[in-house]
Amino acid sequence: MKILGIDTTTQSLCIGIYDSGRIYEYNLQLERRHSVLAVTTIQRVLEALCWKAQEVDYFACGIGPGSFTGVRIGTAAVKGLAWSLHKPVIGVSSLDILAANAPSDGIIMPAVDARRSLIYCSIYRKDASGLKRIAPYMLLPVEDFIKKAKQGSVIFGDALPLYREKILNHVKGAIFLDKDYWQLAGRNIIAPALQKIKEGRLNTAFDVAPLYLYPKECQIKK
Amino acid sequence: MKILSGSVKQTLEIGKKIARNLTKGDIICLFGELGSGKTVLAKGIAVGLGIRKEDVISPTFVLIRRHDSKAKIPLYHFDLYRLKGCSDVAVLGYEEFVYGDGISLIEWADRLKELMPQQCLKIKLAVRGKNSRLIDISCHGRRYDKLMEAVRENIRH
Repeated sequence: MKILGIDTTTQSLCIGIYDSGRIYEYNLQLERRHSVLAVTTIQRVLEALCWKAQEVDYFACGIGPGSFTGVRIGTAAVKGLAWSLHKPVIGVSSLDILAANAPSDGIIMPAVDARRSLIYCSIYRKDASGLKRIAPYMLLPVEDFIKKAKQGSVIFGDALPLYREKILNHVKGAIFLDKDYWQLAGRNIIAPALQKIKEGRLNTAFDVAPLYLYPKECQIKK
Repeated sequence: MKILSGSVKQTLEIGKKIARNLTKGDIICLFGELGSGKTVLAKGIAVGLGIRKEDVISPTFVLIRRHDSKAKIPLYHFDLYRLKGCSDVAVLGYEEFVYGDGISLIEWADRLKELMPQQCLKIKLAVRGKNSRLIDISCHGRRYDKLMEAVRENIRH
């Protein structure tokens, strides 16, 4: 079984590859050039693997929340591939991909800067059985983030430089992971994708949808 | 801070003075009815940043224009008049610009509603006579307290 996964919702272009048990990744720091490089990079990665696009069984896609334009570039690229090749799509939350960076067990809280003084976040429990999300995907001001955070949470992401002090002062025993853990890794698209395949939670090119998490008043028509 | 401008020329001058202390990442939201002088003030600010006045025209139809300032900082000039609400704004991907590497000037900023930046310089313009306009500048966020102080100094001299 072959899976090709892509996430463009942050400044990194992340590609994750699954080939019958083996996982590969390709991560590129791009800032804002996703629209120029996403498709050509997918093509290069496929060539390096000696794969033809039609050999891919599933296309996985980071659907956000994250940079608005980034979310749209990734989902559009995957929709195009999956639609033309008649393949299923697996939408994976970019917060799930980030949460998988956590190196140790405990309560995990990825925190991504959503600008406008808001944070994209969720809460996960990591133990011997794996990583399990125990809260919805949220868009919160720092005050609410602090209320949701549990004692001793492991917190990381690019929201940290902005709110480090406030979180430290209000969340007892909070553990911060340094910058090395803030970037999405292409390989981490694969585990949640496999999980969804196992559960049969597949999408098509038509119904895979971005996860924007805008305020209620600003819901975007699909 | 409230200033009464007696002419288009004077509004342009005020714009130039505001521009003097602008840096990367600054956001200026402009409010006011049609004809209240938002675009004139925007032109003044652009000129102050070293952009040719003729190049700055209202982006009502294109929603956003990018200009390169003398200091190589891009100026993003928005006009949100045609947008109905913040869901329209969200679809623009405007946050990539506004929270990016440039200076943002947003006409009809009231259209942003919930997406209005919490930290910004707000400038309200109102018609006070055939040629006179009341310009009301307020600051929101610590960064803009400083900018406001600098603008106050510039205008006094």
